[in-house]
Amino acid sequence: MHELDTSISKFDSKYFTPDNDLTGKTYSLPEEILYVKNGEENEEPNRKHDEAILSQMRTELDHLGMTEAVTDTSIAVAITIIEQNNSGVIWVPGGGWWGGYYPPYPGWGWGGYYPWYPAYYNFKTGSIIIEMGDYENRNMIEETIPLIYGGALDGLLQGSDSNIGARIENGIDELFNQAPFN
Amino acid sequence: MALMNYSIKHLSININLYLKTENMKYIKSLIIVALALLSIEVSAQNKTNAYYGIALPIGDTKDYINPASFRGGNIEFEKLINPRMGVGFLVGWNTFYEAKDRATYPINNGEITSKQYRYLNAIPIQATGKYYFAGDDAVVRPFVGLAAGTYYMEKRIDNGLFSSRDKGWTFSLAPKAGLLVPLSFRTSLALSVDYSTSFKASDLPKQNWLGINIGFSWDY
Repeated sequence: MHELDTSISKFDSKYFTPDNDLTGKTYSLPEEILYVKNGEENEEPNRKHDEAILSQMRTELDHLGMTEAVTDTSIAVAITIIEQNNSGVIWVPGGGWWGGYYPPYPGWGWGGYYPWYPAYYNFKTGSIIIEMGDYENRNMIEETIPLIYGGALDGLLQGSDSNIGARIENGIDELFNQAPFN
Repeated sequence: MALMNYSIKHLSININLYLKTENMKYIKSLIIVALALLSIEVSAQNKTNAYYGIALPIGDTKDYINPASFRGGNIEFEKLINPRMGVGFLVGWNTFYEAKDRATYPINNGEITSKQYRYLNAIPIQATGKYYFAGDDAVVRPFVGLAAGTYYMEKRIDNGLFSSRDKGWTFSLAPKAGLLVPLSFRTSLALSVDYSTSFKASDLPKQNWLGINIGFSWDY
């Protein structure tokens, strides 16, 4: 089944303005995707889809007019995969996280400090969450990076491998066709 | 009758608990007037009217939910202050629903792409007045009437992992026309159409629909 379920984008309207988008900025993708199982990091996940996800992310970010950072980056990208059904809160743009680029988990996102807009949600198994931080404006003292974008693809990594391959491409492309990128 | 008075009192207590906002004062006084009229001791008849209701969305409601609602009904307790005029109290329920195709919808500072499920629930609590053009010995008794009061409205939109809800009390008006077809000494077949308006309240836009009601009217 190629049909996607739900994709959602939330952005920081103070960052994304008519005069400011991501064109010409540099990005840095994580070396490894973070896998979360039962609210905790899974240290030994099956990474068979990582390459496809990172590759599609490069395609989309390049398409926005960005280039991959060689040294310092303007935008830090975090990618999380929910391996099992997980309810909770996701950070909304305006909050912050610290680089490496992953903030220490589980104090990250699921701590309840930054409630997701008036929504009840329950991410399905196989959901992908993509977040972007404004690394140029990181706070060195508090060790936080302002979050400017959060996107989620609900239940994307379900089904056969061939279908997942198609949905990674279509799903990530769908996020980058939503506001603030469209 | 005692039971009816009790249930009306009970409802009015509930209404009092909920009527908090300024514009509710007007509705509240309407209901008090209706209840006062109901309690006037006259030798006249009482009626209970129960309807199954279909609702056809109009205007803003149609933009939000297009299909007709086949889930609705209302019950009205009516006192005839003379053979041609009745005042009453009506409670009911209408529910509208539509599943929209998968598409991209705006949200606050973002967008969501998914199927969308839209709901609207409307619970009228209204005072009613009716004028019957023929007496109770006629073969057919046409009538016109007006219902005024409040709707408790709940509007909900579900988008996959995202749900938003607005609810509250609105001022409502519903002019209506219909007819009674007496089937026996006490029972009539009742048909009516009404044009319901739920006026804009803070989070709830104005709603309109055409109600088609079929039911029975009992005299006692």
